[in-house]
Amino acid sequence: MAGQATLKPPDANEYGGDEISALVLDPGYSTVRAGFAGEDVPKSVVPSFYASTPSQKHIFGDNSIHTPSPQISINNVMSKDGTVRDWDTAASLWEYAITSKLTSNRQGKLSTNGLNDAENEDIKMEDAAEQEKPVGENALLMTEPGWNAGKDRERAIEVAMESWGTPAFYLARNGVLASFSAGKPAALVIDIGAANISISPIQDGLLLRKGVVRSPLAGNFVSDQIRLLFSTAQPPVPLTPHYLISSKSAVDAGAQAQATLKHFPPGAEPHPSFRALQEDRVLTEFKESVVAAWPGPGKLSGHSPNGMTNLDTAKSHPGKPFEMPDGWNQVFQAADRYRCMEGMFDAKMALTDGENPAPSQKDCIIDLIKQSLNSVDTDIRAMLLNNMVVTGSGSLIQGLTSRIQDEMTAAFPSSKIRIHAAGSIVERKFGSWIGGSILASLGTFHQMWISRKEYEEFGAGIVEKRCK
Amino acid sequence: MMGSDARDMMGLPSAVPTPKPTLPKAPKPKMKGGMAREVLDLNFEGAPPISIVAPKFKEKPKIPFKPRRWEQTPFMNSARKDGLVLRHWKREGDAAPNVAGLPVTPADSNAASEMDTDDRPAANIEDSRAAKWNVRIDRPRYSAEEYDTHLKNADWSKEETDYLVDLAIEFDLRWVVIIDRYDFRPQPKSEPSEDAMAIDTPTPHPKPRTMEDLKSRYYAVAAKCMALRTPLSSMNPTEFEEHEKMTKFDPRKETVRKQYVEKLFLRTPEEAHEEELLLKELSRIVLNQEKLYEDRRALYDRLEAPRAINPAAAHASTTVYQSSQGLQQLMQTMMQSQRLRDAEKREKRRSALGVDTETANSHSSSAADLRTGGGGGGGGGRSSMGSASAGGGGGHEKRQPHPTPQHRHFNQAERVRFGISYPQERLTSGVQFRHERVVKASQAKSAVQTTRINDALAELGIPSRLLMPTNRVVTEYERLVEGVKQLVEIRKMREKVDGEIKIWEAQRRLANGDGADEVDDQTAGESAATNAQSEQAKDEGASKEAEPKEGENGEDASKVENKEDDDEEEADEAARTKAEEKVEDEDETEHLENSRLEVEEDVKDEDEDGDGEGSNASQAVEEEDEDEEDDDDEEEEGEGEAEAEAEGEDEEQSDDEDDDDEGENEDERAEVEKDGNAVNSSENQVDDNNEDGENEDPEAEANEANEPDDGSSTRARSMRKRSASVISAVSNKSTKRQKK
Ligand SMILES: Nc1ncnc2c1ncn2[C@@H]1O[C@H](COP(=O)(O)OP(=O)(O)O)[C@@H](O)[C@H]1O
Ligand SMILES: [Mg+2]
Repeated sequence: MAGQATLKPPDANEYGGDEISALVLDPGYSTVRAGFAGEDVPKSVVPSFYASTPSQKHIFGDNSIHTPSPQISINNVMSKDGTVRDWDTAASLWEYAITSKLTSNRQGKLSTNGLNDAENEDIKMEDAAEQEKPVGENALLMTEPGWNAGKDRERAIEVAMESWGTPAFYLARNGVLASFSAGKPAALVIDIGAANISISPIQDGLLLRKGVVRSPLAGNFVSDQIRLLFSTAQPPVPLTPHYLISSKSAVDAGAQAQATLKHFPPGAEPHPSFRALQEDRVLTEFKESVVAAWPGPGKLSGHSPNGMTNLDTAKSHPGKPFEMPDGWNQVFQAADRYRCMEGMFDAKMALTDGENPAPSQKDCIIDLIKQSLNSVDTDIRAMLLNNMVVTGSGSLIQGLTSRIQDEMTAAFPSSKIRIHAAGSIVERKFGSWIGGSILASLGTFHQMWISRKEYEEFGAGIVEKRCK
Repeated sequence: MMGSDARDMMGLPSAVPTPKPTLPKAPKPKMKGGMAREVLDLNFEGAPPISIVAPKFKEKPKIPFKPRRWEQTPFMNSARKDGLVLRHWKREGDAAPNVAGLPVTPADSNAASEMDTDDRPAANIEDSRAAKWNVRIDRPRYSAEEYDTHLKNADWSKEETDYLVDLAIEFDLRWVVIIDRYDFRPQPKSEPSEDAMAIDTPTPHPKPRTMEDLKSRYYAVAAKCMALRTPLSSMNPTEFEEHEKMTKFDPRKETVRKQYVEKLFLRTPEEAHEEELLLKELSRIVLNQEKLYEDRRALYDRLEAPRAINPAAAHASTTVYQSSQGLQQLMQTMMQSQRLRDAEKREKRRSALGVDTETANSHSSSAADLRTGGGGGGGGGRSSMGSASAGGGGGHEKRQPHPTPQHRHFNQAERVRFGISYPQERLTSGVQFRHERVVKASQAKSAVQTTRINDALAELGIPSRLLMPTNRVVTEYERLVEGVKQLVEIRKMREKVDGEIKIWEAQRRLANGDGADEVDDQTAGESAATNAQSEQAKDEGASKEAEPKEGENGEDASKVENKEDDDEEEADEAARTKAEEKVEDEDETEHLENSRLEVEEDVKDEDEDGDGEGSNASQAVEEEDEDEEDDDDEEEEGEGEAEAEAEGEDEEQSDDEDDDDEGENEDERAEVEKDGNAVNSSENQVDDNNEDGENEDPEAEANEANEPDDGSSTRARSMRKRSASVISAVSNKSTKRQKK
């Protein structure tokens, strides 16, 4: 207290940056983003999915996991709750993300190995140990979800220090970083990713842990909803991923697809998980172009003042055409477009079947926000509502942010609701990485790093003390 | 197959095939050195047919210095204790502006890279310029003994206190974060913060702590430590202030405040909307208030009001009158000046009529004394001028030029019989019928009041349409209705004040920390309580009723009550606070006596008038009445102003006399009139607002923002009365002028 009085705050236009070529690594369920701090986009974006060959080799990178090799199966290093499922593979996948495009250690090898020859593995795990430390010269900032468990955090610093040899390390919450990327030290961050929606209240650049809530009604949930929509449609919509198509010809809307499919010799087909991943890519396309949020007022299940149900009103809204990889195409009605994601807001509108039970209402976005607000101090709630940040690729669904805004305004009529959602797709997709890039290039952040010396002195437990 | 072929095809005459026939060669001389042009062309010695423009680039700027290289330079941050060396890009020659002040020991090896090996000897390695922002707050320190002697607390173990202080310092007293991370385990095996991470693991027996608990404990500890280090007496002002702040922290108040915040946060849309409306209304009132103050100030300037308040700072100064004492004081000042003025007027009239009694003399002299003592200089000057000209008997001359009336004269008996009166005060312009009086009497300003009055009349068994509306009956009826009105008013005030007392008490109780659980009950029960109280008020009012009625007879009484009516109508909207209510009561009784006195004297005066030129005067008034039928102002003022007008007429005399001396006064007066109207209208607006609020919800009145309005209402009331008299005086005079 006494100390603060003697120092004047920094000038408004004083440049706070002091770049030290730190690396920023932001692992997510769908992709892991890596790049140098101070840049505005991650140079390296690698899927978190990896391919396993029958000989238990793990291969990484877009080129290898999307090539239908015999008996190839697809796994993800992350678990559905957003934390790391398989640390060993995760470490090598991330290392691949860093070394393949950022640090030059393996550059030569990649050029001979990578892009043109899909049959080859992008990286050989066995080599890794013999190589010199991949990030030996760069400080490394890694992100983690707000609910990351203590042992996972320790594991992260162990990997960074022991296997990668980084001189300095820091572990930051991705919610905090997303709020930094929006230029806010305090915010309520709504991160709609692949596996999770998470709400993180941030105050003074610190995560309020008790206010962190999450639910699985995110990108993958929407994918499953689309699958259900396709299978329950009359007639069912065929979902054939790209890799199965060898040729196709144009057909009329709704007509049977005219395509010849690839055949794999028996025993050499890819694992079903491969097909699932490929289907997901088609579904992501569908999400990008067709799926939209019901624009309101109210919920899709509600009705307008004149007694007409919103589902009926939606019939007059424009549809959108979509063409499947096999040439099948159709105009999707507005009601269907809205329906695919209405479950994010309204549990009873979610499409269900045996495998996909109905979600509970408390997992829906607005209810999550309410839960989060209820677990933080009363004094800052109004401030948080006035500083909401929407981030994550899942939030790119058309009309999603304005729907959140509307529902929040209805839920908190007495507070001023303001949502910050980056206008550019890149900033929305890489929100937490960009925040990390900002943070790691700040001069004042230099004192936050956990140095190798400190790690050696205190062990992995230091991450709990320092990365708060 | 060149140009010639094309020419053939197009039928053009074949020309000499020059290489570039289109290019102009005009400036070339026909012959050079005797050679044919063709030959010269062949030699290409002339200007070339195509001018080849060599591409010219911008000249390379000549910079006076050699560009410096950028290089990665190592640096440290003195905020770090481990001597971590990082590298950033720097211009080659830039000297390190500051040097890390930390001792670099050989043990400082940190990175696997070479960066520290070659930097090792550089003890003067650059320090990060961000290091200066590394600010930490001082930790309150206490030894174990100090803790035992000063800081013991039954609720807090030393371990937990240590943990709290550590956490508070770690998060720089960001309490929102501290309470979020607070996770103390009674028997921590190792570092308490270590297992703080695992959110899901259940805590053994943690005491539930609120942010207020943490704050109050920390502040108590910190304040004590501060006092132990520097005794209170030797603290510097900032330290002392800090210490004060910490010791003054009241967790209960904070809790209550938070509950309010929570409630505010959980408002329903309707509540939010209502609040918005109220806020809008408030801003409108405040806006009007500004105008009101403005007008009032103008009036003060003209009306020689007591300069007790500084009108320029009316806002601030009204606080003086928000206490009952202040109000009473104000009331007394105003009453006194009013009395003085009345006395003066009477005196003037008397002297004008040539009646000069001993009592009047002594009265006026004492009044003058008081006046110069208490009033402003300007006021004194004016009064003396008035009395001086009064001596000239200007008032007489004014009335004489009136032509003799063409009306039939009625004697006293006839007047009574036909119910004709020549009122000395003009009630309205033109003829007034009794049934109008009857209807008017039973109408109050608000519909609610009107129905209440009618209810009361019905209870008394008096028909709303009088059976025999003779003059006396109507007068009696008016008197009765006035009494009822007064009662109803008193009852209303009583209810209001009770409601407010409740609210204040509730607030005081809350402030004392009786817990906010009661907040709900209180507000809910409030209206019920007020209702109960209002019943009581009714009863009490009934006993009061007797007072004003007794000892008054006939016309006098009706006059008195006319005046009361005027007062009451304004009081209706004005008073809000308890303090005011008190003053109000006193004011009423005082007024009653006062006006009774006045009326009696007035009557005496009139009698005297009637003997002499009085008849002339009254006829003049009558004529005026007829002439003025179109006068809007008069009609709008209505009955309420009747009394005031009578007063105004008194004043008129002196005004006229003034006029004789200084003719320009006219304009000034007109202005006053305008101001007066403005005041009236804006006040009416405010009144309306109040009335709305009152019907809706008694709590709204407790709104602090209303208070400045209330504080000045008493002042406003008497001001308004005065302004009314000025208006009537001016309008009277102007019509007279027209006639002239
Ligand atoms: N344009 C888009 N519109 C809708 N959803 C999208 C879009 N782009 C990507 N997605 C979905 O967003 C999810 C990935 O979001 P992301 O924030 O990258 O997740 P994570 O941080 O968990 O890796 C995937 O489910 C993907 O299908
Ligand atoms: Mg994410």
